[in-house]
Amino acid sequence: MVVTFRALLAGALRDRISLFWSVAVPLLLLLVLGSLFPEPAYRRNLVLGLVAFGSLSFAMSGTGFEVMRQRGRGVYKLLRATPFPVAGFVGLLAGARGLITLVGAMLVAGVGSAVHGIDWTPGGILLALPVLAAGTACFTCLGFVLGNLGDNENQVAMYNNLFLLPQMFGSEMFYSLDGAPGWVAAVRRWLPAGRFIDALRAAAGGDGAALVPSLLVLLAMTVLILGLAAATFRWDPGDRRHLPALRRA
Amino acid sequence: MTPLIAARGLVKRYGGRAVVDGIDVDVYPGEVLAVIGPNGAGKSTTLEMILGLRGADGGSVTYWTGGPRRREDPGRWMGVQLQDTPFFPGLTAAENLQVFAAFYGVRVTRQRLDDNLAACGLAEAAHTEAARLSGGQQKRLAIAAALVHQPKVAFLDEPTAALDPAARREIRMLIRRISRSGTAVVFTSHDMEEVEKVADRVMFVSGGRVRAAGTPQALTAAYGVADLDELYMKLAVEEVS
Repeated sequence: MVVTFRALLAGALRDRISLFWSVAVPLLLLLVLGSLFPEPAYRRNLVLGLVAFGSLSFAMSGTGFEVMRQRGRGVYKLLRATPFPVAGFVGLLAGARGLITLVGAMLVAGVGSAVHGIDWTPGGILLALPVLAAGTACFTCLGFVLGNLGDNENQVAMYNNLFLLPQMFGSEMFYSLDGAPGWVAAVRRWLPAGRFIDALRAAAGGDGAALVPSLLVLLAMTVLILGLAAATFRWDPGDRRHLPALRRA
Repeated sequence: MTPLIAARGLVKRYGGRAVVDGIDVDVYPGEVLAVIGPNGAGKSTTLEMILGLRGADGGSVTYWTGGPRRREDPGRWMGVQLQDTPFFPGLTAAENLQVFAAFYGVRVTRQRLDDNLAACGLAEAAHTEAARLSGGQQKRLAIAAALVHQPKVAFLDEPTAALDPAARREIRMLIRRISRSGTAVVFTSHDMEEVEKVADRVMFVSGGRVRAAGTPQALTAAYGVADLDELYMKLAVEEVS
């Protein structure tokens, strides 16, 4: 398990495209948008929004492409012929990518807070950790769903847009949706990234009571998406695409 | 001699059509068994059923257990190279091999890793990213991964497909070396010259059934043909008519 985890961690660290989108782009946006809009409240929300954007990019998009590539390469099929438990492998893959997502999120949060003068209380940092972990888990599960749906790079890219864009623009990552129509606010409540940002804001403000509802909804969404990921999981590209396990049942 | 694997009456159906229709296979220690036949004959499906990658609709497979009171997991002593070349794109050849060893529950030393790569002609490519290896090197890496735990049987599914003549020759020599080390090799191929050069036994599969089986010499003599290429054409034509 240790050897496999180390190797998956090394592979994830060499995933330059995911690292670019999850660390370099958020850091760049922190500087650009933070300079353009210097209001403290906006900067604070921007830092948290970009933490969510970076996490979503690495944990969801990165995992989605990785799962598709590994399945396309026949890794999962081969795994079935070995004594290694596939569930264990999937857990290690999620763990490795989750760990890097967490470190990336902390880096973006740290740099953003330092550059834009945001003070985190020790309590706020402690509250943020479970939120980051829950968000990472949820986005990683979404990544598995993404990787399960697509057969090739183009298809995964298409599904990725479908998953990413609504969460980017409907979750207050870069701007407030206070003036948006009611239906936008209603949709936002169903977006994992929206709940993640709400919980993160509550944590940053040291408000444990305000954090709980969003965190619970995020965890419930994680369980649901995990179920969907398990139901859509395919051993090799030749398997049925949609919900094979449910169809068999 | 007791076979390591004894498959009896294997059946696999897709949509009511039997793609494998009662195939028997025995694999003996140290032998090289070639499974030949046209595309869609059921060769890969048969191997995948033996490996447990596909469930069979009929028949049984008995595996060597290590002795009357032992229950060794066959996954630990079978090695597999599939038609795909499974590896982790971001990792080097050596790192990939290390991961595959872990999949088989084996911890390999640096020396053994180097030996394994060298045996497959990959010593100089050890630290090259797997995705950057040539087609032939990727096939050899897949074979190295199938052998990393020193299995009793290695299944190689079309190991020389889409390779240039030099790479094919290297793989042929590699199969011979594997066999000499005591590991049985079961491989599928469309290259009859290759089969004739390396196989101890040949099994011709067509329409999901075994049409002919035996040593290359016995088969060519029995069918009155000059070589396996001619035998292949003769059996394939018989199947069509």
